[in-house]
Amino acid sequence: MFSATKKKVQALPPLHRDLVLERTLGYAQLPHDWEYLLASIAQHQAVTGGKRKYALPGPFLAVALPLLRVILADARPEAPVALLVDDRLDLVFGPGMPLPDHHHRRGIKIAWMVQIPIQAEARLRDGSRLRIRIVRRTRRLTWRQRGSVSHKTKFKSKDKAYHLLQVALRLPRGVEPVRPPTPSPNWLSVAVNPGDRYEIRADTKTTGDEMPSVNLILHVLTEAFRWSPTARATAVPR
Amino acid sequence: MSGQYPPDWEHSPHGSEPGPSGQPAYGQPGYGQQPGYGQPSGQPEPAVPAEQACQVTTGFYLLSRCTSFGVDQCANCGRRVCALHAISGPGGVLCPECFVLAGQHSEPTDRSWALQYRRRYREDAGRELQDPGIWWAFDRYDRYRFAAGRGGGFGGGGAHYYAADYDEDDDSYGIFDS
Repeated sequence: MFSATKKKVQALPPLHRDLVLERTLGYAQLPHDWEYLLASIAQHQAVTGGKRKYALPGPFLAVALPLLRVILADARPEAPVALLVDDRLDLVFGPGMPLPDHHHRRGIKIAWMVQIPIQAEARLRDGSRLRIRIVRRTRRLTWRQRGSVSHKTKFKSKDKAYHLLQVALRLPRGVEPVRPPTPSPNWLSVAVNPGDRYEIRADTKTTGDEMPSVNLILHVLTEAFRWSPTARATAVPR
Repeated sequence: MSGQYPPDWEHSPHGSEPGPSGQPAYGQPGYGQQPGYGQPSGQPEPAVPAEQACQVTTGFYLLSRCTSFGVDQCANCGRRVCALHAISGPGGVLCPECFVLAGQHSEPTDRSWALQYRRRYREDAGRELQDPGIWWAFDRYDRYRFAAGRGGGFGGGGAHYYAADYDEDDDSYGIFDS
């Protein structure tokens, strides 16, 4: 009943299969266990024969996969690494609300949709905890307009999306952050939250439908790690 | 998420098959003791003498030394490399840094991709964030040995490069120098 390719896809490891068929992945497991998934993904092209129907989600390949590799390189071997990838494009907006009265066009309703396409959390080798979250917020303006000649009523809408990149690095207990020698760039904001354990938050925002690039996400990560004394230290010399 | 799998998948999303490189699966003896990821807490570290350990610098943001047993030698720089960090490249077995230096690249599904991408990224990030410390977190060997056109490069020299050709006191030899 099933085609040969579909049988092969059904026989993939469950995480890989969910990623292909459900366009989503959410799991926490040890760093070593992620290698099973990555080894399976390395064979994806051979299994599916490059069929677009069974292609891996774009955000996973372009962003989550390199990001997972970077996290695994610094993760503690005995602590789980959590990853959430959601490529379902079900645009479910919240209730439409009228724009403020002072807006230049009356009768426009605004609605928001919030998605979390990628989220990851890990405990690192130095005892700190890292959390990365990419939030996609889409604004939809809807309004009704009537043709001046035909008097037809039409419903119009316009979408605009932006992505929030949120990185939180919680330092180990008793470790104080170190102020970097140069200020952070103006396109990202950094906050150091004191408490039981210091937490460094680095956030930025990008506009557009496109997912932020890996390098941009890594730059935000780097900004958080610049405050970590362990990350600034040189590896033990030979 | 586990509830949707058949009973034999309940505890591991990968079943009881061996790992990608024949490593023990979940619940099997030896699980969790994987090269390149160190040892779980509470277990004794393997006693690998320093002169026999892998010499590759691990980590992306948190740099450290690989503690695995060196099983081979990089054909370009002469460093000892463990089974995880040994990559087949032009001219034989290479370490991840020399693999990039030879003009090769791998996909993120490859285990050493982060180490291959690390050098290029740190150079970019150092310029973008205007913080030379991102680059200077490398030790002296890693900073200069693999800098193409700086006396390192592919196919020239060996492990003796660091000791013989480089002045220990000269700190002005970096990518941020004009």
